[in-house]
Amino acid sequence: MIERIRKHLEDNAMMKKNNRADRLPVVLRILVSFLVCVTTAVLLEVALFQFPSVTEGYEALSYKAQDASEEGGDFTVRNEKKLVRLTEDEEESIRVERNNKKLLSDYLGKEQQEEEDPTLVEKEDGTFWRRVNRIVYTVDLPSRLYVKKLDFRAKLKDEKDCGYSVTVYDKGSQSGDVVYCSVSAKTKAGVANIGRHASRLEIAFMTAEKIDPSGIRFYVCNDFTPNMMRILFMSFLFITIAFLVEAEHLPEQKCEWCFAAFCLSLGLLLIFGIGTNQVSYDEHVHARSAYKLSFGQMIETTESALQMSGNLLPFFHNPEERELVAAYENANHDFSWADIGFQSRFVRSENRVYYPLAAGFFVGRVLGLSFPLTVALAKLGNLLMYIAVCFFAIRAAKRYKELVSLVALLPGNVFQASSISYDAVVNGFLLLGCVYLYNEFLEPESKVKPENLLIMLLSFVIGCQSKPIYIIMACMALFWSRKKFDSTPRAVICKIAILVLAGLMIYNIFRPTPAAGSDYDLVGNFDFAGDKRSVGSSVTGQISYIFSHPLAYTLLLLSCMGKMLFNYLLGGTGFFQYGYLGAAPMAATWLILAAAVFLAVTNPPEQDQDHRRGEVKGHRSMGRIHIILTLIMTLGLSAVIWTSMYVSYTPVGAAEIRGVQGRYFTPLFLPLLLCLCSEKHVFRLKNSERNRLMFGLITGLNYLMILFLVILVYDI
Amino acid sequence: MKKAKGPTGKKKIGIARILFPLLTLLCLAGFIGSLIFPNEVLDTYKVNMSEEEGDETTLLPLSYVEPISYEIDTAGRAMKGVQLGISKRGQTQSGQILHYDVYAGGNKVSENVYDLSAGEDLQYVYLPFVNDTACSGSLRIELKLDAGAGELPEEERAALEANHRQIDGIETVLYEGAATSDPDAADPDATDPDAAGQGVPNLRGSHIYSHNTYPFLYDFRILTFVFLAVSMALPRRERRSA
Repeated sequence: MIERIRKHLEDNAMMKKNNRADRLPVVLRILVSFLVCVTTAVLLEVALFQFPSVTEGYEALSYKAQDASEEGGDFTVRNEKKLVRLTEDEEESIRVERNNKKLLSDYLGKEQQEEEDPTLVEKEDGTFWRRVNRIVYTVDLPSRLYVKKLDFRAKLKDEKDCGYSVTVYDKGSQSGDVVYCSVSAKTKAGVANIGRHASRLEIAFMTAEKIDPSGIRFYVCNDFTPNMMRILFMSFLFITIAFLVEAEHLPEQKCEWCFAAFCLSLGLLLIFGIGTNQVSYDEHVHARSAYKLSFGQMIETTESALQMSGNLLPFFHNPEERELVAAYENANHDFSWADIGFQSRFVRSENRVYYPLAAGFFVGRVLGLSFPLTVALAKLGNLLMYIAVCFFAIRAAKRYKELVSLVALLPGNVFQASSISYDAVVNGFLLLGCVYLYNEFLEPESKVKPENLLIMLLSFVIGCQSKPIYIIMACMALFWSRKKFDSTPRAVICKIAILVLAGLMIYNIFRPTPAAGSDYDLVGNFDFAGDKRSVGSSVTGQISYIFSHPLAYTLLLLSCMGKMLFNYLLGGTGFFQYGYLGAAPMAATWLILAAAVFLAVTNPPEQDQDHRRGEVKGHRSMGRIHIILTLIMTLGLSAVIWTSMYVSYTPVGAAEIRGVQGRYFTPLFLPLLLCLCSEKHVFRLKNSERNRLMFGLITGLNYLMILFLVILVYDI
Repeated sequence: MKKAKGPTGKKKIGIARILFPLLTLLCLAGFIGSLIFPNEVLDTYKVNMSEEEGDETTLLPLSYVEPISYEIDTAGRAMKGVQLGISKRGQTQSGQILHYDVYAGGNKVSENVYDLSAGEDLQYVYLPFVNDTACSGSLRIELKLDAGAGELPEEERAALEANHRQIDGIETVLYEGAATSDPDAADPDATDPDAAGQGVPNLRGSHIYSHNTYPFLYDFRILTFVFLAVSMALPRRERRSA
């Protein structure tokens, strides 16, 4: 026996010595790989995107509108009048604004007074149009030039954005499509990406206001400007590929660390790629709450912060505009003339989900960082919190780490974690809670550990603070086996406590506890409850409608659920979305779905061996009863989510349910996938290969979405 | 390698056996305490305070004999007081006392005074009601001066700020002959009573109510059941064999 122990210790000492000897080359290899990846990215940027600037560079050509002639010549101008229809979003925002004003007038008992906009025309069919002046400048360039960008500056007096279009002519005919670009009323500029050869440019500037020509000038340029965002993207992409190829066993052995590294790199790309553009769901609402939370009782709101809260910050579409926007935001982020407000020192429970974001705002303010960096820091706070929570969820997952990693890296989840949104808290903590909940189902014979139960319940409580409806998931603990407790009375009391806990959280939706100060009237008054973004919604009205038409509502609910499922699976709607930026094609949904089902259904042989050695206890799949109960829970919770949107967001009695998005069902993915886990199916693919495949697939999808929805939209 | 559960593990469980039931009881006590001792906060409802184009402010001088009555329906909520715009008309108002008594259903339920020499000119003064729990339903607040320190001429007496905007459920009743700074204010031929500068004057100010808040109630009630559930998952104490 002693001999065996001595041999074991000697082996260990030898292994440590060998490891130390191997470490240096490994570090060198990593360093070299890293340098190769970054250098390749820089070279590709220069070769693919900066080549025309290197070979055909010239000094920027500047044109002043006042120099344009109406008679003819190299630089001419002509004026036209036009009626332009507003976009659907603009029309809807006018309708919503009018309705909200009416509601406010009704509430205050005042007569509604409509503000007149002389440029706005409402036609009989309900469409909105705007009267605009169209000023067309035609420029004959000194020679055939490569036009990379067109920088248009206009000193606008109104606070409304304008637009211009550029038609490029090369060798006597039109080259490519017309390029459209907006001119921000705030930055007073708009930079268009042209990227083609031209001998003549026709720039049509459209504005509702009368413009002084001396305030208009534009620049034609082809400067050598390496795009840092693109270099960062390519570097991260190459490092990820190199890692997945080189590190054979790390994705299996250190699954949670791999997740953290991938999620951080994807999140950083999203944070810095999107910048201060507000493209996430209701980002301005979350930004307002998080910004306020970063202060104590006295809030100092700068002009930029005020615009962020009102979704009024100027957008950028390329690095040149990003610089202009950053300069505007920094100029207006001056605390010496900030708006002073006060708030209760007590933070309502539903607002505590903003702490990670608020921490970023606080640190940015204390360090005196610029506005874009402060916003990035707030998003980073959210991302780091999400990574930390999911890290522990993956570590805690018994034998489905890759499934948890896959769910945690779903594009929608990574995007929400990298934006100003509380969904990172919801998704992260619900995932952690689910892991602890379902671990117990996979080990029905072993006793539930108090620390595990504590983590599970606290995760659900935190995850459900802003969306209490998901607490229904925690009720699955009521079906834990009696053997998990020391005695039947203890099991009964524990389950009653969980049931009451869930009940109290749901009760708080209908009767929120007045926690501090104001809005008592609105909290206690159902007549004014309902989402004010949607015209005609009323909680009391909708509830009474459902009770008076139970059958009609049931049919509506089922048809809406079926339609959404059909749309995502067969109807061509992409499930994986990056907020308002867009979605991945439906094929991506099927690909990830297939990978998830494959991971759930097949069992890794290595883990099987671990299981036989007794290192991993319990089963690989849930009992049949628990699978059925989980399916009932997911279906029931889905119906509740749909109903909640019908009650709070949809106009009373409408024959549709508005506002339900696929992302609301993401927390249900893990329970559903665990229902597919099987004891029988064994696919002889190495565990490390399974994990590399999974990480490659999900990070690949994220990289593609970042490329097409972020880099090519905002950073080109 | 997993550590064997030794004396340290047993000690931890021993601490947990005390800690979690104790936390449950503490949270329960906190929950009951939050329920029994709520935090009362004031709600301010501005009435007739918004200013629009064409609005004209009128001053209603207070009388030593006849009160100015302000009639409100509180819709069942107990009113804590009112906040009215009082002009001292450039005088110190030394020794001048404002009496404001509240009548509910014709019965005097609250008798109050305010020393007009306090505060600045043209200030919106908070006038709290004594016995405020009885001040609910249809209320009539009668405001008049006390001539204890000698009567001031009408143009030097304190006055209440008003305009001519009509608000549902709220009425200002003037004593006969009450002079206003705007002679056209009480134009009986006014066709549109809502129009600014027409109709009977109406006081400007705020109605003050209160409500209870329970800052920690939500947390305590949730945590009570979290810790109760965890307490039930603690391993049972092993019985010592004889």
